[in-house]
Amino acid sequence: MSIVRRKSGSRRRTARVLILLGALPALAAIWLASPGPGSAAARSAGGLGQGSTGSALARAARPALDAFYRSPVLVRAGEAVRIPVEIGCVTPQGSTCPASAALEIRGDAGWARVGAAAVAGLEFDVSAPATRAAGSALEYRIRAIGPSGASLALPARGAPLRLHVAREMDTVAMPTVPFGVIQEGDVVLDLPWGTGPRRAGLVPGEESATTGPPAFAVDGLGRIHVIDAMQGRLAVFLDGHLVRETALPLTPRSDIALGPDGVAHVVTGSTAGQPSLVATRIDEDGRAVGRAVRLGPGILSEVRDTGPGAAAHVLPLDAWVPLRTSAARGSAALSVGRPLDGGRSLLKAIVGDSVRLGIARGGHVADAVEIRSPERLGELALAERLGRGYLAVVRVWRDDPSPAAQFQVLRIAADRRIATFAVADRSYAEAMPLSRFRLGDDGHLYQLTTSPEGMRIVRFRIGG
Amino acid sequence: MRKLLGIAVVAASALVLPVPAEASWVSEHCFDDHNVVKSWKRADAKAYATVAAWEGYEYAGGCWNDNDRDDTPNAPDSFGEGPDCSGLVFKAWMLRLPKGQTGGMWWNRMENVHGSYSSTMFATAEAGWPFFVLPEKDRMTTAYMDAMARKGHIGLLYVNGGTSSGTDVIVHAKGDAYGTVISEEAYRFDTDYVAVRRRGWTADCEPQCSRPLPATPLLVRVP
Repeated sequence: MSIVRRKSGSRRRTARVLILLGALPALAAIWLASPGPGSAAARSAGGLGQGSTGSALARAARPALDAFYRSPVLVRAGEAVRIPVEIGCVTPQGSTCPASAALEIRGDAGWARVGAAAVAGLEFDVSAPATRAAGSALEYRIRAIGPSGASLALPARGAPLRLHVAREMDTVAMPTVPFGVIQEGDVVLDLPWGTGPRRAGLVPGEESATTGPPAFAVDGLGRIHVIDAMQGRLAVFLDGHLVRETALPLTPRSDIALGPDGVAHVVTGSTAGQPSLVATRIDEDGRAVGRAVRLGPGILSEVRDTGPGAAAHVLPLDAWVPLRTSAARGSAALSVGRPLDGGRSLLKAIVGDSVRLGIARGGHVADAVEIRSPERLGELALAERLGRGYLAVVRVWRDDPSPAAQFQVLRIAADRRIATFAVADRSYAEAMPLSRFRLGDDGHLYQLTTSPEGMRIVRFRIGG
Repeated sequence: MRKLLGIAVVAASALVLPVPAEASWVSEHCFDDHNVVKSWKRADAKAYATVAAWEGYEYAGGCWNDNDRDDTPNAPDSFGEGPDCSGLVFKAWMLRLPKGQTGGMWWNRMENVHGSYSSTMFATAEAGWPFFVLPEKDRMTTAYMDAMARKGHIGLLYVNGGTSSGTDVIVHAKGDAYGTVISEEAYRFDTDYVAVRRRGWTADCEPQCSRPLPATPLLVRVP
């Protein structure tokens, strides 16, 4: 469009401008009606899940299966034992497909298999084989079978899953702490939200989760190792001062365990950008040790030290996978209990409104105890062997008469006496559910709390 | 006079002729595709959400493919790939527009629709809406594909049973830093969260259910 300036012929010029102005709406209408990029005509509407994707995708031709189950972990000899199994089957078009589930049990005569249609509410009753396995462990595998040859196994390879059958299990009543009667600890680290070395990274949630540091650990010197995922660093603090920081490609689903050699084991994953879990080791100087190791797809639950190394608790396996670095090869041996030193493992589970704890060595269970709560129990946020007893932190909650929740700390002595107190559930920003508490190498209990102002690590003395 | 006329024409042109927007992932990939459905099953909702898992997250978004990755990482609020938390629930639950409308609508995952409800609306469901807040949120009350909702966030129970640690497995559009994921959560026990159920689920076994409906749990005894 141009306006031609002439000293003469002004009427002709005015007419041209007016014609142009009159044409503008028509030009605009033509412009708006023309298809923009991507506004393709509607695909043919299919039924439920049958519509075209309209994009070149790499989805496999076979259906996709997934399998979840609840591991019994530790049961009493003679009690009813059930394993709920939930199988999902999705076609490449996004529809459901029929599938079946099978439970394989190892008995004296070898492996036996029982199958059933994978329907909602499916539970395998293994009471009979569990009774026969009293005093040892019952080994089993779970399989999902779908159409077109699709199949899936838990575990995919290696050692089978186990549930431990204790001949003896002490039962103790959990002392109650009234809701709201909480103990305040000592703040040992206080980081306001923000960006910078003495800040903690935060992503406020708006139709999403508010996300802060997912996990932390405390070493024997009282240094606090914070997974500051939103700032992409592992930051180490002592007495509130930053000692060092290591840049790491972290996700908000990351966890950390400290080995006795001062090495930090960091596992990241479980996001759209990184569905495979990745394990990294960081030495005492903040340098990566060896190469990061991909553990495969899974949902990270928690990472803990095992004495000589570390292990990750992974779903849907609901079992512990030892962490291996690129320097150490060999198949990972699954463990339903958290591996400890000396070939032992810590068994821990929530069963209804009870906490069950025990120590397994091979198939034998020792020191099994069930702590029965009069209140509803939520997650078992922490379980540790403490001397010849245990330390556990479990959430208690209620809906009536008014919603309330708090964490109850249980120190279970070898003679089964329980010392207890409650701490508040202060979680403005989300962390890993099972990584909000830590038993420090210094013997104190630590809690990661968050508020609109920032994050704090709070220490509770739990006695000698 | 001529100058004023020229300025007026240019200004008018700017008003009438919009500058074309930059192409976004949504504009380049998404399209309309939906149809009314008369029934909706939890199994179908779960399959729908399963496909969404490991895709991206987009505030107010509602369009995603099925390549198990975030196609627009590190680009928040840019009409990128993925739903937000309430958008995922709207489509997985096959809800209809506008707000309060009953019945069901199947939405192609590639149709960019968020729906009429925020997470807060889900958590404070009004009477007559196609979903309601459950009176309890314990495991005896809830079922898979019920939601755990609070002001600001909502996720769907992926399975009925919990884990050995007492937690739940949740599928949700968790945020830009996560994408849409399946993760372990303790929302059930958080006082800020309530359990929400979509109205009118059809039993998963239909139309081939035996009568009476099979009891749950379905026990298979291992000898």
